Amino acid sequence: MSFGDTIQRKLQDGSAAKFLRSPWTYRFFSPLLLRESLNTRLSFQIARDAYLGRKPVAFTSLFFPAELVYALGMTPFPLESIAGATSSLGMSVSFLQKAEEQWYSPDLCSFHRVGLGMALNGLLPKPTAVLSLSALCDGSHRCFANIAQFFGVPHFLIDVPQHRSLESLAYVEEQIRRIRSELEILLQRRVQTADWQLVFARSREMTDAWSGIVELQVRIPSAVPGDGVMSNVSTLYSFAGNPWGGRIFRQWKQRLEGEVPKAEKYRLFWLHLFPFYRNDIYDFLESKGVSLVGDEMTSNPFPPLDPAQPESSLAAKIYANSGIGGLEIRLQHILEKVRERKAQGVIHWSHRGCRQATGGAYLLKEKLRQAGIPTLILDGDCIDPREYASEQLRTRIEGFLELL
Amino acid sequence: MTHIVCGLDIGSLAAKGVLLRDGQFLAAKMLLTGADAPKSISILYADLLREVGLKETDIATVVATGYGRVSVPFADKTITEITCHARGITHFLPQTHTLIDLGGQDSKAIRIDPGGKVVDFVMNDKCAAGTGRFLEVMAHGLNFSLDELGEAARRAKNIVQISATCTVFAESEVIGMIARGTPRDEIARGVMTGIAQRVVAMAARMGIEGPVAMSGGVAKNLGMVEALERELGIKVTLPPEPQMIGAWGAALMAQT
Ligand code: SF4
Repeated sequence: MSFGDTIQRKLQDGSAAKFLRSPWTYRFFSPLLLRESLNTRLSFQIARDAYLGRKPVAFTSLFFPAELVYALGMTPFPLESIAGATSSLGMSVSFLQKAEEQWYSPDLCSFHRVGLGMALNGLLPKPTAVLSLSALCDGSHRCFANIAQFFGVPHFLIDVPQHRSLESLAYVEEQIRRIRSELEILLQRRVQTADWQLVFARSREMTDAWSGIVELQVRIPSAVPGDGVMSNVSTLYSFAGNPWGGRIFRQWKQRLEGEVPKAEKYRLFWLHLFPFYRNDIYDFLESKGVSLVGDEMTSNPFPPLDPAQPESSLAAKIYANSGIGGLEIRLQHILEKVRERKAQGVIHWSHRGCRQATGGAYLLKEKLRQAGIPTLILDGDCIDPREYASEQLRTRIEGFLELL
Repeated sequence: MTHIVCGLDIGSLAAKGVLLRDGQFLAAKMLLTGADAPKSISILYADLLREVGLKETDIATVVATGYGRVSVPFADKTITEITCHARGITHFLPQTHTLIDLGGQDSKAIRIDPGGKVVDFVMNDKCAAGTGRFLEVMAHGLNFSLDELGEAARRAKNIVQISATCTVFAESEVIGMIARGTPRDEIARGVMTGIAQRVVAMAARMGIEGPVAMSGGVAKNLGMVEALERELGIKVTLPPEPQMIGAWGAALMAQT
């Protein structure tokens, strides 16, 4: 039985907290892992370091610069990505219910509700600090502040002004510098230039390897399966600086290159996030000859990171995200990627509870229409499978393909 | 040699079928879908063929549409109701630019270009508010038949506001109003207006361009059509058999 299957079983029978905190778990599974994918091995390593307290743990929000966490010798524990993993294991509903029982509104983004539910169920490791960004959404830092309070640990927030300017960049840079020095005091460890060099080199290695996948996506029809297109946002952001990142994408690319390309009738670009639980969207798209040629979140640029100016590099990386700074920036990014990847249309997954992405969805659709790009807006939830209506989605997707 | 085709529209409440011979109308039938959709489909198809004395082998192509389209084992092709409704309405009302289709379990607005091609569409979220099902529940709460509900709404001099969107809550709101002595006609008008407002708000997200036509079972309810016209501020045109438009569209698609 694999590590993932065992966690799933333990979550079901209520013994997951004990299982994750037992050194025997990691001793037993370590030798078996050689047969598993690099992604599973990465998750295993993070779980081991976090639950056994081998390294100080930082709960992070998705776009918090993970390079800072790695440079400080901490293990990032990205709560929104963990919520996604929980959902893909079919276990999100019990955490959502737990959060709701404790008065968290069902209107709150389910990524955060799962994090809160896991904390309330005693399933999270003890963090040393909670690190979050006020982007992309401001629901995130409120939720992270709450979790920090729950564990009685400090919360460090990088406030990211939506207005893009040199002042905003300097303001973010200054906050990163301050958080770095406060964490250095807390951890009693100074980040040296060599740490930045190592972590930035790993981050660059990973984004370079990722570019190889993107190149494949553009060049070969259906080179990357639909669910594959979607599952990389957390690796790219939450684990930037991890030694395994580059290997994960290079190995994947090698595998994809060996596969026979499928027939392609439509090329579509995906906007916002995607459902993590088991669903039939990707199979359905594939059966209709749809290639997903990329998605909004993983197609942001990754600017160079300079070890001599780490804070300003990370500030620039944060602002390279097209989700910051108004709908026109998001629109420009989408237009550019749709054209670059020769997509015929876009699908916008409107995640319930996400004001940030869904608030502007129809305005975005109208602007894309003016640019000659048809858009389908699908309403659903990324984490909560109870919000998924397969037949309804199929009709909408099929109708959209017919109009293409 | 004659070319006979069939269009089947399997909706949540009713299954509809249309036969065309060389592009000309041959026969049409409708049946309640019931709990056993495959059985209703077989009965509908057999009835259609029997009516005009044909055998299955006489039919060149069958196109199925609607939510139950995948449950038609003998269909040569399935096409969504979005495309079929657009095709059907363009046959009867070729000027249509916006089609509002109110069916049993969903409502949709479709923008159509002058050639009858779908340009865009929006559908209701997975909620019955604004659909035929909502009307049925409200009619039940008011102790009206569906036809009576429409007539009552047309008769009403005043209107009351139904604020709940949820079908269940709206029904209790209606029952509460009856208990307080609010005239049933006014409540009926409030119900229709509420649906019309929701449908217009949904269609506006896609952009409404006249001429506007309406299809689907709910279009047979004149009180509802008038409510939509009031909210849209323009006239809504109706095809001869609004409920059959999807099946017509499927049959027309089967010809090509
Ligand atoms: S999905 Fe939206 S609300 Fe949820 S964390 Fe992401 S940006 Fe925030």
